[in-house]
Amino acid sequence: MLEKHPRRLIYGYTWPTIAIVILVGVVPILFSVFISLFNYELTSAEQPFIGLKNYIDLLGDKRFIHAAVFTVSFALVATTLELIIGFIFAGLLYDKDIKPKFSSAIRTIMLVPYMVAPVVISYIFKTMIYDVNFGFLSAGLKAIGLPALNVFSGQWNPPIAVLIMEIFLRTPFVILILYAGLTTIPPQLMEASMIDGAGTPQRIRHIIIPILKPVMLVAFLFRFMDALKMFDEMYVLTRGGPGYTTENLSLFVASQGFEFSHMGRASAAAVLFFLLVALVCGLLLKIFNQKEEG
Amino acid sequence: MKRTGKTIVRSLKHGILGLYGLFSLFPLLLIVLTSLKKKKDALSNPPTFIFKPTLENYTGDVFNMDVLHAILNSLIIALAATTIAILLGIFCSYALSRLRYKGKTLTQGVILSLRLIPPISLVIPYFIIFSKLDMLDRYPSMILMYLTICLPLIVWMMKSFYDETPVELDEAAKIDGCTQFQTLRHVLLPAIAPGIFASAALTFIVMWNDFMFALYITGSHTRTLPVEIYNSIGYYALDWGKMSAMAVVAIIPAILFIAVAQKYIVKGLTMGAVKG
Repeated sequence: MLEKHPRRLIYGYTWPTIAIVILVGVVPILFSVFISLFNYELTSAEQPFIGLKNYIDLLGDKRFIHAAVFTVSFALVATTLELIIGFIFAGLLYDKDIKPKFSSAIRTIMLVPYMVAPVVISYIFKTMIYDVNFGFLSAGLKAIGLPALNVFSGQWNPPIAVLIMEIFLRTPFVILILYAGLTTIPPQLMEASMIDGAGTPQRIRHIIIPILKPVMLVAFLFRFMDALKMFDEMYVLTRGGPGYTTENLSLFVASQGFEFSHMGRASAAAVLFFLLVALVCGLLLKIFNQKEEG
Repeated sequence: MKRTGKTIVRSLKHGILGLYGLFSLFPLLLIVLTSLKKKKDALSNPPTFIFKPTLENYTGDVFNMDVLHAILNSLIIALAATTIAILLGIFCSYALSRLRYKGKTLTQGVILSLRLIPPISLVIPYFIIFSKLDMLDRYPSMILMYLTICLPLIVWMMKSFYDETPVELDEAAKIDGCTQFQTLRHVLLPAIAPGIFASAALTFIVMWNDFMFALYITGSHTRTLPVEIYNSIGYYALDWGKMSAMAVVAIIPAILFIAVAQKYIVKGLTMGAVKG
């Protein structure tokens, strides 16, 4: 089927892309590693070489460790919840009780929050929904006799507020993927199981989940990776505050670099961040693959 | 008795989904309505849905030169990055899908690994490099940065469209005497044209929506719409009507895209890993 071609031709097709990928992706990362070895301050004239000191400092910095832990735990919680909610809604949309036209209309509508710029959605949540004086949340609470809630104060309110918005924004992606997976299940299989007297929970456990597993893995990995890298929503809603309770690694790197001008230190954090994402994703892939075999 | 039970369950399921649909549209509805409100209506307490609509937020006052400039910048940068990525992707994806050669896995891996890099890890080195080269706040630097997002998206999405086109088409063309390049140009490209369009549209939206790269690398010349919106949040403060009018303009491309190309979204966002 696929045949061999003269080498010249093949590389002609791919080298421009590879060259650009190296230029825009590999070079900046290597440059980052280089800069991270210096005490590189935007404001000072001299940038002395300090070896691994930036890395050592970071690993002893409470704020950095907090950002790393917060990033991973937020991404884990968000992704898990999105997968559970996504599974329920994908199942509902696929349910044979639902008219196909209705299901398709809902699948289109739910894409709106996902495709619209996160800055816009974050602005809407920050003001019209979460605002303590004029927002819907407080108005709703007052209507049922509860006091207004300032979601941007305290230790738990802000991350939960971001989490709820994030789930609202990103679950449609999970629903669509899982729905696409569900449509690949042969209808005969479902009919046969019904004739054999399997109930819904049994069908979910023994037919749907095994078939859906690879698709769930894709959804989980993509969502998890993006949740780790999240920036816009956090920046607009809380900007890491109050204090640095909701500061994730993206915000940490940005504030080190652009607020404090510690470019060397920010580079070191950026490199560690990249390694963390690669490591976590690699680890997840490995765990999932092992489970698949076992 | 059993039948009524079934009907109840059925309508319950429809109800839950309908509610979810409404819920999804709620933020959109909010900004569209708020953009039609006068200031005192926008801040009524409790929030109201009954008011006299006005178009006063959609005037030159809000859409001043700065905002129009930002819209133009967003268009220029997103279009340029998308076009370059599509041109590169047409050939690269073709090779990845159709040809067999040494180093293919490595090529795929390198392109895919771009997707792993947190954008902030690129912003820091880019900022230093561009400021040294005096390239901050210029279109080429923005376009280069956006290629890090566009390229993996486009190459993998278009590869899946090539993969779905039967190889028999290539073979038939070859028998008819087409060279490899002619096959690509006259047979494959027309076959995957909808796919190219969908990839381009999705990439355009992702660029149009981007906030972080634009926030740190653009300045007064190249500021894009999301950054302009973010900057206006403080400026307009509680003038939600004016902010909403800007936000409505910012979401138009996404809404158009959903209307036109929604069936390609799953494939695009999973870079071909899941067929929609």
